[in-house]
Amino acid sequence: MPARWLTWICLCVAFALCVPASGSVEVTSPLPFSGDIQLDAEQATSLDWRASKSAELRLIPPKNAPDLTCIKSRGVLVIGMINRDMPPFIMRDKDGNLSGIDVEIAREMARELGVKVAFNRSANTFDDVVEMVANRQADLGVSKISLTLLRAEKVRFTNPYVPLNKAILINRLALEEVRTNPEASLEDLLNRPSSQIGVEAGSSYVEYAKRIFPKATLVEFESWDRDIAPKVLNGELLAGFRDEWGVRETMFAAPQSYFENLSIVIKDETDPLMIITPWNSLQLLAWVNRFLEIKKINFSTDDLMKRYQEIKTTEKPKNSKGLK
Amino acid sequence: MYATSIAVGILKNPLTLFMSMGLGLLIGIYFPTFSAEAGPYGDIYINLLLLCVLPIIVTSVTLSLMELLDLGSGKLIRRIIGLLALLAVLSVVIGVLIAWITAPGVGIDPTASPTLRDVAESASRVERGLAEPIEPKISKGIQTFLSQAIPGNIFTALSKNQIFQVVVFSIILGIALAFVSEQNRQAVIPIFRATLSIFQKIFNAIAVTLPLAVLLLMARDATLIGADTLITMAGFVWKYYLAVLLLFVLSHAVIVSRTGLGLVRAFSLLKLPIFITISTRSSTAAIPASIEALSKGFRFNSKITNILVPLGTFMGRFGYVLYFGFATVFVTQLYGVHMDAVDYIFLGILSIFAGISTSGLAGDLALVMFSVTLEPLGLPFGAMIVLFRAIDPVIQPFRTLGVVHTNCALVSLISERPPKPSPER
Repeated sequence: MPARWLTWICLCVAFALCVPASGSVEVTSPLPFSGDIQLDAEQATSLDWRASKSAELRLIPPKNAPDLTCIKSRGVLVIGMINRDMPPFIMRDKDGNLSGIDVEIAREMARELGVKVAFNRSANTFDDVVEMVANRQADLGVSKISLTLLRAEKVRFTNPYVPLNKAILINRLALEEVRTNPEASLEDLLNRPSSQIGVEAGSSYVEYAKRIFPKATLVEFESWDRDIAPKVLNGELLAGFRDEWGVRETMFAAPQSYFENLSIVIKDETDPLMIITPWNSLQLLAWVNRFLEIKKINFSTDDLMKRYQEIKTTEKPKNSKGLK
Repeated sequence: MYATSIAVGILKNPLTLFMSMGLGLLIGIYFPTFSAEAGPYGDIYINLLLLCVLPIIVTSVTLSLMELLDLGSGKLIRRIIGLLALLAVLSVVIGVLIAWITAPGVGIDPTASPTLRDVAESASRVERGLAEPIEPKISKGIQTFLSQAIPGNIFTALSKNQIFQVVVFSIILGIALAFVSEQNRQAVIPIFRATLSIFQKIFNAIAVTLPLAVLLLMARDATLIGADTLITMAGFVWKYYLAVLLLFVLSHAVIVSRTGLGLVRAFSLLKLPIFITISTRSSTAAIPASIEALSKGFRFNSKITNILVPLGTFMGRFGYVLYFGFATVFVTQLYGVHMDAVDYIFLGILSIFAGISTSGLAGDLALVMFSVTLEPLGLPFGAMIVLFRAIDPVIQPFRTLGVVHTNCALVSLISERPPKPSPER
């Protein structure tokens, strides 16, 4: 209950912020009539929003969408973003300057809107970012966010800007051992009780695994990097289940495992990254979609890897200096 | 005229070939852009050689088989098959034994090389649907090999350069020719003889320019592999060279003991097939040179040579058998898979089958036959094939040499000893 009240209060505050700030922008008054109006038969049939002679019946929607107007009059686009680094999406250099794909997209959107950009980084988790946007503490969430139905209840998702898929990390020798039939598919090998699949506890992949491999033995671990990846490498686990980029990052971190591990991107299971907007920022949602389309913002994992490698190679000399 | 013969003499000298080989490698290392651009001119040479291969195979195999059948040759065929098997076993034993002793796969990390790390990275990612096979089966196996041996259309086989099919066709033609009437035979034989001698003339003319082609081709080959790859895989490469050298020395010993010639003299007679093989990396392109060297140089029975050299090129894949044996042991060491004696025997048998399966395939396509050895042993094929592809530029010339040179030894074992060494010319 208090949460719902908080939401309402936040909404009111946000609205209150919008209205006085919109002084310079023309905002047409809301509905021209208040209270109940009875329409006679003639009025009812000739009711036309644009051409009605009766001024009282002319419904005048605001000329500019309130969500965009609010941002423009405020002069700042507030972006909700998780408070930890996630290269190549969100990084902070030693001077505290933000960079990364998500940061660049946010800056470019603000530039196109002709406003400044502000980052609200009070979120500890992805779900916190979703809450932040739902509570109107940010106009948009640009924070490597993927889609779940629970999140879709609270906010709206734009078109994907990184069309990722779900992926399996598997040990090659373990794979050959279970792959007795050379034509065996992923489903044949993983969707059976003898197959142990590791997933990060509390991640959306617990849900996904239950749906895609209902017969497999799921093992939940606290950390992908500390538990699942090493256990797959030494053959304790048959496979790990995560998003495509996460699996690729794991393998990149330990190149000697390229010959030992195999990552299988599941073609028919997507897990795209999207930007989120509050439920009622419809014009903003449409605008972001057109923005992504016109700017051709669509990162493949290869693009991500290129950026990631650049980051890692520029980091290296810094690290070695630090060691000295 | 005198000057020309001196020039030809210099060009035909094995030392010239060694020098142009070394020079080519140096040019390749120090002027990579030039070498990559000059490569296509080397291809012209390979094409010229291949131009002669088809007519020479058709005519020489047909004529020789016809004449052999007139003499009766059941015992000969048994000997050929027996020796093919024996040499294949010898090759695989050398490959497996050297790999077992020198352990090329222990303590080696191929991903230390940036180039290999990149190819391994791309091979470590596959995209599959949930219901799709994870690694589609590639190995063709012996059955496909046999079913593809018979050409459905001889003109297609000729125009598509399906040389093994052409050999099979020539064998059928030769057998048939032995049974047709003398009148029909006499209508065909002179044409075949004339064709054979014309193309041998062309081939001899082309062979004179070999040093230049060796230079261009070696320069290009040197650009095909990066220094980082070579340094990382150095342990694998030199241990493989050791195995190849052992096979070469044994084959050479056989040739020397069968002919009674000196080591150097025998090598000098074989210089053309050896250098053509190393520079063109094609066992097919070396067929005319091998026939020429064995029947004219060593004066082995030309009927047997004419048939056995093309046939041996396709059946006697000794260099491949050795490499498959060696490299598969390398993979087991790389992955730390425990192997007992029975496993090694199984590995050896698989390597022989894999080697024979490469018949008529060259380069990349031949490497696909690694699936024949790796899959039954439960070793990952997808990761290894990219590694073997990356280092193949330095492997392939010597793998092919293992085919060509050991087949010369096979011919020397089958054919009767030459009456006397040919006089020095």
